Amino acid sequence: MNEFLPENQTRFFGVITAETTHELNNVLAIIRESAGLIQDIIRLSGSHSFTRRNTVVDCLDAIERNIQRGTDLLGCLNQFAHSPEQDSVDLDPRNIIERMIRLCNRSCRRKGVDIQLSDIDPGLTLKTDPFLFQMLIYTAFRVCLDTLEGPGEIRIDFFNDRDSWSIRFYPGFQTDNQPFEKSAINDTLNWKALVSLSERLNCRAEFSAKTEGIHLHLPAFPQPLSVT
Amino acid sequence: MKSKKILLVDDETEFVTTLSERLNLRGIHADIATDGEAALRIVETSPPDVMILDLKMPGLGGLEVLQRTRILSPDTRVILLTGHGSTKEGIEGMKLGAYDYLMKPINIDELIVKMQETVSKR
Repeated sequence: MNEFLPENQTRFFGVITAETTHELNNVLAIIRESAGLIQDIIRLSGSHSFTRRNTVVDCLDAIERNIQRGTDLLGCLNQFAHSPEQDSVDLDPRNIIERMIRLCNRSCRRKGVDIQLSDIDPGLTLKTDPFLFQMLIYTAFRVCLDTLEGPGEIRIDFFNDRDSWSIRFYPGFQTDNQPFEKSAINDTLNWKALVSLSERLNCRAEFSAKTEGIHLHLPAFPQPLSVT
Repeated sequence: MKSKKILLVDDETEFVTTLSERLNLRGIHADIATDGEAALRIVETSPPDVMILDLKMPGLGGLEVLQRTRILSPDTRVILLTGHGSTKEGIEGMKLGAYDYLMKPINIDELIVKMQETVSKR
């Protein structure tokens, strides 16, 4: 289907973003090689050739670190940009969550919120619309950010109950952390969007009094799942 | 590696010239080509042992250069350079005979290890 048709706005967005990120990748590649060449020359010249050698080396190390940071971000953005290409794919929900954490890292940091994804990888595969699933995860983050009153932590894990899986978003236990208030969540437009997106993807979003968090119940799978 | 012929192929001139210089500082001489046609001319006249080949180039693209190189110089090992969204093309390239692929921006130490692997497995 042609991505430039009016009804394919998301595909069009993907095309443009993919082109841009590819170009940015080339820019970073040039910066990396240029910085790397300077590093090579300095290291080969010996410690007595520059009066501020250490400062230059520190600057170059900072360049290298930020290249890596930009590369990681571009990688996530590029994968996001390619996601509208197909309406249904087999995806790893944990992988999508990691990607969306990276993409919304800046807005979380502005609010002093840290998102912690559990180390346990349940090895799930979900056949669904990848673009909409990313929207779902991102909207869940937004709901959590909207309702946290101050700096804190959002924890995410996968929960299995009688072969039914859910993704849980709940406040971490830090001294200044505020719990998610159900009444506050229900009032937000983002919550309504989350519910709507969930239904579209055959998921179910609910507030859990037990974890004081948001649970996204994933659709049932045709085959039994096992935790890896 | 020092005695091997390396060819870097990428339309980003600044990238290939700087990478070539960095390899040179490590005792590895590498020729450069900034388009597919130029690369194939070098393959015909002085086949490299290893070709580092960018996938997305204007004109003759990386996959086409790969396919023609496989015919002109079957002993040339090709390592593809891809952007993050091009892993599918990287895998397709390997099915067409590329030895491996690396994501841009590359890590030079990783590149050298890959090149050493290609020549040691011949």
